[in-house]
Amino acid sequence: MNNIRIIILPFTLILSILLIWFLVKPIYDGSNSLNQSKIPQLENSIQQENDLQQRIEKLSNEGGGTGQQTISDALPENKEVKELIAQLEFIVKKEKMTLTNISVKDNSSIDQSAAGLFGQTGNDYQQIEGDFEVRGNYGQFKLLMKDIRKLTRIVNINQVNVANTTDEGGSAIGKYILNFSTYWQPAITEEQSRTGLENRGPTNPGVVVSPGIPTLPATR
Amino acid sequence: MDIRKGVVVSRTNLIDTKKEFSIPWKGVGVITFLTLALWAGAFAYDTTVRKKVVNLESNVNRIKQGRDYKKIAQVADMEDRLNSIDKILRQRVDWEELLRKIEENTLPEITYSNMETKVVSQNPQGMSPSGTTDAGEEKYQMILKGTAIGLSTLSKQIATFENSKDSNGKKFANEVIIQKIDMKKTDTGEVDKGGALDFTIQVNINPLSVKNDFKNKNE
Repeated sequence: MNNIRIIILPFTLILSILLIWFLVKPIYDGSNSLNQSKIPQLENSIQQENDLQQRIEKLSNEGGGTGQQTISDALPENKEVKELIAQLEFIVKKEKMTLTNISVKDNSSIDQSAAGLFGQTGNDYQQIEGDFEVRGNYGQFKLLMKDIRKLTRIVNINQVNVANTTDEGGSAIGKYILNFSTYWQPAITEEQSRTGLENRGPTNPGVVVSPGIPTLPATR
Repeated sequence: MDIRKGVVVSRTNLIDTKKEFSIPWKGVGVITFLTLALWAGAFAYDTTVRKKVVNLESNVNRIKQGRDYKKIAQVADMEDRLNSIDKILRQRVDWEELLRKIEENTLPEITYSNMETKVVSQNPQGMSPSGTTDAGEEKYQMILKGTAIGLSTLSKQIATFENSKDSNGKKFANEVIIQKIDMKKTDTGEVDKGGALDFTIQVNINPLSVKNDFKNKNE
């Protein structure tokens, strides 16, 4: 009988330890796991959402109006070049040169695999190449290059071919064949934004926020 | 006497046996209390954590439902477009500056017939990791085709390009490579007596000297 009295306390202690190990510990572990993984994820999601909202508000306020128009003019969302050709014709005439030939070759291949700024599928800019031939003297040609630089749509001159020729009156003038590139970029649609953001989970933030948003230069 | 003595001894034994069956209530109670307290604590902690998760999830859903996808698309598009413009402008050569530099550094005996420029980006993304532009990332190459009177004139021309520096000490050409030299021939196939030759040279331009410096242009 004396032996029973001796083992009651250790028995209770062992039973208690077993209860704690098999009943209390799993509850605590489960909660702790939620607390350490799921809650930070959710808090992170909320933080990201708030940051996103603030960022959108800020950019929306900054980029509205003329700024947005300038950006769209410089890099339009469609490949239409009629207006550009008209502008080129205008500046050639302005510099009293003669436009003798113009051709445009579309090299666009839309790649929507680029990661967008807010996790949506982004669009890469597309390039359209062209050539045009003008005739005039070197001074006029230099002024033309200056005018091309100031066009509202971005036009990069890649190559200049120079030759001597004669005008209708028989005077020597320069013949310049210019190879140029202009660009366009498809617009990000509402659907792309929705898909991108909805696929962005707490474990897959998907946010590719540009480290520094470039500002549009005042002039190019 | 022996019998009585035995009875006494027997009674004494009975009393001792009753004492051995008493349970250590205090110890058992403390252990039980601690166990129950731990269980209750874990249960309360679990409930709190789960409530917090539910609250946060409902907050996330509420915020997500308030998204204006149209506005987000507009802003993202504008930002993407700005990044692209930045990349494109970094590919641009300032032709005004380039022509000025070529004029300054060309000998009178040289005539050009073709100029081709190429910007070779060393960073495929076209953007530095910090999102800032860095003039050292691109290589500007110019292929010049033309005519010179004599080989010595051409070598002088190359030396002129290589040694040219602007007022700020910036070199115009980092390197000049001869790609092709052809002695000009007459209609009958003879070498031109005047020593005229056609050449093609590749000039690796210092990007800093002709880079499209839109920040400093006020036109």
